[in-house]
Amino acid sequence: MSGSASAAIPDSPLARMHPIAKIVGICSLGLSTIAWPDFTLGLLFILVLFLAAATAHEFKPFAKIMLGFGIPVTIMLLFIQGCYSPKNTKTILDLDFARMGLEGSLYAAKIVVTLMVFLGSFYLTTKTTYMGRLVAALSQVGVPSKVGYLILASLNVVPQMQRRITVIEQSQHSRGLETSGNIISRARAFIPLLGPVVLSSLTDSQERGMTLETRGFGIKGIRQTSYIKVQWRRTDTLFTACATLLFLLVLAGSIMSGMGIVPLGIQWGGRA
Amino acid sequence: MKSKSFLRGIAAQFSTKSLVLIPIAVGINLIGGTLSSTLKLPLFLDMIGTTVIACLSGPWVAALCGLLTNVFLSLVANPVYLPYALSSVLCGLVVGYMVKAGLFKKIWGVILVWLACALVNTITASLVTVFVYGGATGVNGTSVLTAALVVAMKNIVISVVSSSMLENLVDKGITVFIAYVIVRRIPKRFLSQYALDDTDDDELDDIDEDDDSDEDSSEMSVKLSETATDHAEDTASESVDGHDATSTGSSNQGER
Repeated sequence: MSGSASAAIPDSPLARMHPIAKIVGICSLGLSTIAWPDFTLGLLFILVLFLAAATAHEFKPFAKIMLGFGIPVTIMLLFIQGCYSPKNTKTILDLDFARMGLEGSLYAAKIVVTLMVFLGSFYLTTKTTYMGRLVAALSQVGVPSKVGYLILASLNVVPQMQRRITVIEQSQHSRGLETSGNIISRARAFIPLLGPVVLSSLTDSQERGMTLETRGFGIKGIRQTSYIKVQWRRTDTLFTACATLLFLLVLAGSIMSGMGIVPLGIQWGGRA
Repeated sequence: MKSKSFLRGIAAQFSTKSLVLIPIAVGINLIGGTLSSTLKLPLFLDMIGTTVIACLSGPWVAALCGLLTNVFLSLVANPVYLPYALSSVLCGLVVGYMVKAGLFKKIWGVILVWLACALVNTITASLVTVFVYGGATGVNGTSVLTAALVVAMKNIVISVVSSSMLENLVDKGITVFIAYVIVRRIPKRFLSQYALDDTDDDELDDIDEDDDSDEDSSEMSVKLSETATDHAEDTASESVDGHDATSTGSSNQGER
C-alpha cells in the first residue's frame, strides 16, 4: 500500500515540502482559526486550502471529502446548536417547533469552520506525504524509531489482514457459513470470521518479532540510520516562519480585540 | 522509589514481542469495524484488538494501541476520529488494569469490565463530542439519535450523554464478549510468552481443563496425525538426503 501510494503522489510544491513544516502549517492554521473571534478568518483559510489542493492536483477528492463531511455536520450543528443552545437570545428564524437563535448559529458556524480547516489541512498533508518520508522526518527530530515502526507497520499490516479476511470469508462460505439473513445469523457469523484472522495474525506477529530481533531492532544506545533521507530546505524554513508569524499575529489581534483596544470591523459574536 | 518501579514496569511491557503485537491489534480493531459494516451490523466493534492486547501484554500497550487505532483511522478515513483517541486510550488503560486484577477469568468479572469500559467511553466520548464538536459529528447514526433527543429533551449535554451511553452499552458488551471468546481460544503456549501477571498457573489450568473436556477426541486425532506427519517427514527427509547424496555424487563424477 505504501509503495503504490508513494508512486501515486504527484509532484507539487506541497509534496516536496518537509513533513514537519506541513505539521507546523496544520497547527498554525487550526489554532489561528480557534483564536480568531469569529468564523470569517476560517472561511478565508478554507479558500486557501482549496487553492493549495488545486496546485497539488488533489482538487476533486479534496472537494469531495470537504463537502461530504461539511454539509451533514453543518446541518446537524446548525440544528442542534442553533435551535437549542442555551445562549440564544436573538431569534433569526422561526420554525414551527423551534426558534433558531443567532448566538447558537454563529457558534455552530465557528465550530464547523474550525473543523473544516483542521480536516482540510490534515487531509492535504496525508495525501501529499509519503508515509515513509513522514516517519523518517519524525525520527530526524527525535521521535523514537520504535514509534516510527509502529506507524509504518500498522499501515502495512492492515491491508494484509484485509486480504486475509476475504480468503477466510470465502473458505467459511464454502463450509456453509451464513453471512446474510436476519441480524442474529449475521451476528453469529462474526466469530467464525474474526477468530481465524486474529489467531493467524498472532502467530504471524511471533515471526515478525523474531525477525526484528535478529536484525537488531531492540538494540539500545545506537543511532539507527534511515533508508529515506528528508532534506530541510530554505523554503521550509520560510514556510515555518511565516506560519508561526501568522499565528502570533492572529493571536495578538484577537487578544487586543477581546480587550477592546483595537475594534475589528464587524463583530459577528461567534465566540463561545 | 515507588514511582520508579512503576515506570520500569511500564517500560517492561514494551518488549519487542509486545511492540509487534500492536500493529496486529490495530488491524483487529479496524477489521472489527469493517466486518461489522460488511455484515451490516449497526455497531463499531472497534475495540476488540485493544481488549485482546490488554489481556496479552498489559494496560499501557493497550493504551498505545488505542491511540494508534485512532491515528490510523484519522489518516486513512476521516480526521474527525482523532480527538476520540482520548477515550480509546482511557478504555485501554481501564480494561488493562481490570484484566491485571484478574477480572477476565470469571463471567462476573467480564461483566464488570464491560460496564466499566462502557462508562469510561460514554463519559470521555460525550465530553469530546460536546466540547470539540459542539454536539454532533455527522459521521454516524448516533448524531441523528442525538438530534432526536435534543428535540425531545431540549438539552444538548444530556442528549449527547444518553445517546452515547445507549450506543456504548450495546457496542462494548459485544466487543468485550468477542474479545473474551478470542482470548479463551488463544493457545496457552502462545499466551505464556507474554509474561504478564494475570496469566498465572491457575488460569492456564482452567483453560486446560476446558480444552480437555470438550476436545478430548480431537486431541487424540491431532496426536495421531502428528505421528503420521512425523513419519512422513522422516521418510521425506531421508529421500531428500538420498537424492542429495546421489546428486553430489553425480556432480563429483562430472568434475572428474
